[in-house]
Amino acid sequence: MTARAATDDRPAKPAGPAPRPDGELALLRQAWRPPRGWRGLAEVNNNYVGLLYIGTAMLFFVLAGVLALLMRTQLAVPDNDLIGHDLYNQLFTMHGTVMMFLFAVPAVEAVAVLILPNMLGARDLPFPRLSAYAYWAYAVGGIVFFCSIFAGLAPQGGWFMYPPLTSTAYSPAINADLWLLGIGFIEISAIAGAVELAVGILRTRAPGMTLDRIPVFAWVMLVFCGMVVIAFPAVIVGTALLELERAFGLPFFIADKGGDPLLWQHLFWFFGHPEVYIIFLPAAGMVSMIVPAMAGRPLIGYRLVVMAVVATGFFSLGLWLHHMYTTGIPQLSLSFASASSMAVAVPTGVQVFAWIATIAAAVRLRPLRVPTLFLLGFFFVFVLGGLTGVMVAVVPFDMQVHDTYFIVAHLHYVLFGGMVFPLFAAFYYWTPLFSRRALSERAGRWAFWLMFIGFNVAFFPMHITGLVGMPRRVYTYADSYGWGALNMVSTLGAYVIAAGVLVFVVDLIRNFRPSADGNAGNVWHAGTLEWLPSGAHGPRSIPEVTGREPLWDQPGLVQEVEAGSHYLPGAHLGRRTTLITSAIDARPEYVLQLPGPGWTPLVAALGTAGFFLLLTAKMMVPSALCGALAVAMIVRWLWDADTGARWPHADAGRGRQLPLHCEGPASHSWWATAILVIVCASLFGALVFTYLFLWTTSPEAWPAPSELPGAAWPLASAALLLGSSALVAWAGRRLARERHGALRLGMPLAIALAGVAVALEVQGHWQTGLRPQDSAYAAAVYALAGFQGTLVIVLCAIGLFTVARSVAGRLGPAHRASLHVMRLLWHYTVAQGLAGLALVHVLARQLG
Amino acid sequence: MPYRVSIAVFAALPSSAAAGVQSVLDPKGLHADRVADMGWVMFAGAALIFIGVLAVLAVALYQPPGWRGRLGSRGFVVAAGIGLPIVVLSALLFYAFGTAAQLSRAGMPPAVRIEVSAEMWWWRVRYLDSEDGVLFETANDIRIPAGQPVEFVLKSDNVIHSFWVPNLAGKVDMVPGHVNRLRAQAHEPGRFRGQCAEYCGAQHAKMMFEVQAMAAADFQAWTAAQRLPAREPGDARLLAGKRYFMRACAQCHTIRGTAAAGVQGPDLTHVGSRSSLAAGVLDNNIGSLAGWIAGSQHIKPGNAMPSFNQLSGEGLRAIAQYMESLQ
Amino acid sequence: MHNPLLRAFAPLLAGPLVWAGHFLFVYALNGVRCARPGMEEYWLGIAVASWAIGLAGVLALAAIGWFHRHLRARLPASGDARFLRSVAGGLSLLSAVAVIWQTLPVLLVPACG
Repeated sequence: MTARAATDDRPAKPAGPAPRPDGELALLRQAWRPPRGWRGLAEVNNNYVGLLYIGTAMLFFVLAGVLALLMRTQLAVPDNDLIGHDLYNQLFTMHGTVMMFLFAVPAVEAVAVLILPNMLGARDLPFPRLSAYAYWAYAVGGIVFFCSIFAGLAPQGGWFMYPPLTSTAYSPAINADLWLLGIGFIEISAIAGAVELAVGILRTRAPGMTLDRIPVFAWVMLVFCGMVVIAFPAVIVGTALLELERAFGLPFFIADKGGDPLLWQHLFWFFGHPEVYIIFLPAAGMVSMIVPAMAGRPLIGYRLVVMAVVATGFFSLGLWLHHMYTTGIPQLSLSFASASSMAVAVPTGVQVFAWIATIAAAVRLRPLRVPTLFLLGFFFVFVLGGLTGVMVAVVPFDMQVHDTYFIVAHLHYVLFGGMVFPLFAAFYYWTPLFSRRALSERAGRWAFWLMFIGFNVAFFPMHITGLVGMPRRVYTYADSYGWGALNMVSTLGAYVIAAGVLVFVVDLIRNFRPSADGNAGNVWHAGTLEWLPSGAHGPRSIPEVTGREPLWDQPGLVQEVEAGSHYLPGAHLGRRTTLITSAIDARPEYVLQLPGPGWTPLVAALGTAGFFLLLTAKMMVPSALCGALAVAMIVRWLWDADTGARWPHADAGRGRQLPLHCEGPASHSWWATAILVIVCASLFGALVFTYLFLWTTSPEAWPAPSELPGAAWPLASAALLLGSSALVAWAGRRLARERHGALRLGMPLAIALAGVAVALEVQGHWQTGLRPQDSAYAAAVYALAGFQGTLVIVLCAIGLFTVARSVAGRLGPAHRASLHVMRLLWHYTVAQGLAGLALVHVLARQLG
Repeated sequence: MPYRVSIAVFAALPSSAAAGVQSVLDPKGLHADRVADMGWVMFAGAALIFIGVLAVLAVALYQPPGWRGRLGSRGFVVAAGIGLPIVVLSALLFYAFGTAAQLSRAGMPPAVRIEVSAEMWWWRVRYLDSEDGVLFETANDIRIPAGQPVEFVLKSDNVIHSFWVPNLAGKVDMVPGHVNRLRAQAHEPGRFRGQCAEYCGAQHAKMMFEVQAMAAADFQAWTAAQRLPAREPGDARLLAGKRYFMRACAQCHTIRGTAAAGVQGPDLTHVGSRSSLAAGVLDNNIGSLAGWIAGSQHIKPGNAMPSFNQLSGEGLRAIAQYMESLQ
Repeated sequence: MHNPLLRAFAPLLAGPLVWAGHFLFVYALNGVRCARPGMEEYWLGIAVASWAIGLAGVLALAAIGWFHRHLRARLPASGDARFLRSVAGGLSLLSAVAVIWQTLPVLLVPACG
């Protein structure tokens, strides 16, 4: 199997002025036309899903903002009894949770879903049904989760939900479970989005868009994907462990049984800190696109900025400890975190000065338009927030201001300044692409000044409020403390922000007229590909690019693209298609056939959301039914995929004939699976951390080597795992020669081997008398086996699916994507199983 | 001194009337001093950098002749974005590590060791002797000798809390399963307020405490008085109060020298001498005592003490008078 | 390393990956040694674990330097080699600075206080 797709390496014919055949454009439009009326909900095109996505995210922004107004109203005067402690504690928990999980990350993902394909010159994302699924799961799940506040069932543990407060003993009601399971589907949709965006950025770029010509926003989103894939699993593991503790009594965080509340904090903040960079970096990427366009010249220091975003992505993974400075962790360990927190400030500085340099070299910045205003607001607010961030990175200073309003001020300066202002700049900047009318300049100015002034009035005093002693998350305070005036000022500022947002919403209602086909056009005369004339199908043809700002560098490109002189000017056999190119050189490799509208993603998402939400309500049977529905829908949608090279090569434009299919490690589905494997490895890593951390803090819970299961158990497990891998490898080799028997017989056997391997591991511990509720050690061991078992169940499903395809004649040597996916996941799962056995049986004997 | 200036500045703000008592900006102890100094240095540096960046941005926006080339270049980005931060942050790191090291050096052994266990939502305070034995127990009201190092031993057996007295030192969390220690040293006698600084549930907002630094002789006197058992009731009125107390309150509260030995609630042996009630929520007088007993669920809803509104007015008054007598 | 993706990205990511490995190592080592005070060993009056942290810093810097020279030389000869060289160089520099900064405290700050 080659690692590169077979490509047609002859040079492409130049984009000539020869007219395209009659009806080709009409066929293209027809293929991409969305269904009418309510059937439009089945549309999977990124232009539609992206708009729904950003709209939903802004809905949550407004809802969480209303919660904030309620809180500020309660705090405006001392000893206020407007809102009691019970509701207030739900309000601040929901404000943080909704803003971070339901607004901030989805909003930046939404902008990417909406704009990235156009920016890269692609017609759509590589897995449109996946992004549709991710959106609907998020939308349905998020709205139901938000409604919990109306039923008084909203969680009350703070957005970071620290145990033991959120353990069963202190939060017996369902509220905490709602948070834990409720954000489960948001985690899924974030990871699904990351997988898709990464494959899109690496493999669906316009030909000629080499690495040094990729728009900065696309680089940033690639780093975003890396961060999501590494960091999100930590919170997935954390929430799973806490739910296991609450539902089944596995004492991960209960000190009396060897657990440790700090385990949650490590897992949560290992996710939580990258989370804020996951939110900030895409916004910085947007700034890197808007500044050059408004300035009329390319970004100065493009390579420095790319370097900076990659560095920021990496360093942000080492900062989680700075949220835990006061927990009693050793001084030297805290100093490592302090050092890396300083290190992350350097690449941030690089970006800021690159933008300032570009502004200095601008040729057409005046008059200042609304996007520029929001960017200037961003500079002011974000730089101030970044500087207070450096202050709190210093341990002794943070020991005073941690958990006070100083931190509330800091976090809002960096999040509101660093993400919300760029987002509003992005709205005013990119709306002409998606709307027949641009937004109003005048309303935009009002919105900006109200938000900017309101924000500073609301949040700057909070630095002082925290320094004079007001802690966070307090529902009231005494008059004699003297905090009343500061709080009143902050409350007034909050209302001014709300007024600014209201102006924006009114402007949106009055001027935003979504239209994929008749948009307002390139009003800014910007240089990047998303500004090509486009419709629901994206650009008329996929251009060959030779620079970073193709619309500036290549005169006549717009006309050539419109005339269909570049790649894929039509719809092959009436179907939606886009171009897959190589990752480094962006040479066309094959034509990807994309699915059209369908109901499976929406129904699967409803099933997924139902599964999690009904599980929280402990309605087990309805929950299982929903889960089954989701699985059935996913099977249905995958069944139609990978139908092989039944057609000959397609004419991809410019004299190129490209295959319609790709086999093996060069295919986009293989790459998506590889990324999924990294996600699984990160999940496993979090579990390994759990085991090792608990050993460090609670050695008394660890067994002596004599209490461990005998060596026969893990050895047998390991042998069975290796056997299953060997079977899968053999079945694959046989299939390459069109022999299906090995697959059809071998797969069930391999599944059985893998399953028995897990069962042996569990039984090995069980027969020593160890039960999962006994201690944190037991819980960790059973959790590792449980995760292995979960993957085996997934493998079982994929394995049976592959056999079914084989039986149905949909699997063959030239089209066996499901086999490749299964093999990759299988060998990973076996490797993970072996590593788990080594940890629990071999290392434990050394440590004991 | 910088923080005196800050007090002058903030005194101009309407908020500051009582701001000094729980304020980072009004350091009264060794650790808080160092942090405040460091805070002012960093504030000055941050303000300079902030103004500098805004100035550069303004110059970039207005593009006076000659500046366009200087600012609009890669060299500027490297110098300002890599060079400058590396220099400034390296210096800051040295300063930060140096200060952290200074603050965590053990130095003299502590004059007093006080174990504070956080409850929901009050503070159980035990003064320890040199072998970790308990000299006496009290609640919410901590006294320390001025001018000498004190060590707080911080624990919790329920949820995570955080012990914070801004005038004296930074905060340290109280994590179930861990024992954390905090050193503090007040310069001079004075009263400081502390507050729980880690969200701990329903009444986190009403979990305060007071730390009072006293001259050495006063501290010795106070400690000696605290170690004594409760004062016997001096007259019939107080005796009646004590009887009411034993019936209604002894299950959860301890008064040393009597039959009351409950441990769920705060030790009340010397409750009359404390600076506040209900962890800093109420002033300590007969009216507040009666009001708290009769209506604690209205004052701090969700706390572990039920409202004893079934007691008669006479009974409440009697108990309150008895408790007030426990100096 | 015939895979073009790896060949392009390996020099880029080598520096940050060394930084990450160094960070994990020093953090885990310090966490374990402070949790097991009885097992602390000393050499020339300084804890062995502290020597190890210092040595790890030196080794990490050496590794960054080696990767920088060795891998950059093997970058593909395509048009964007200059871009990759530049980005890789910047990342190596920042990673080196971060490693220095996070080794520094072992000289100044008490390990477990």
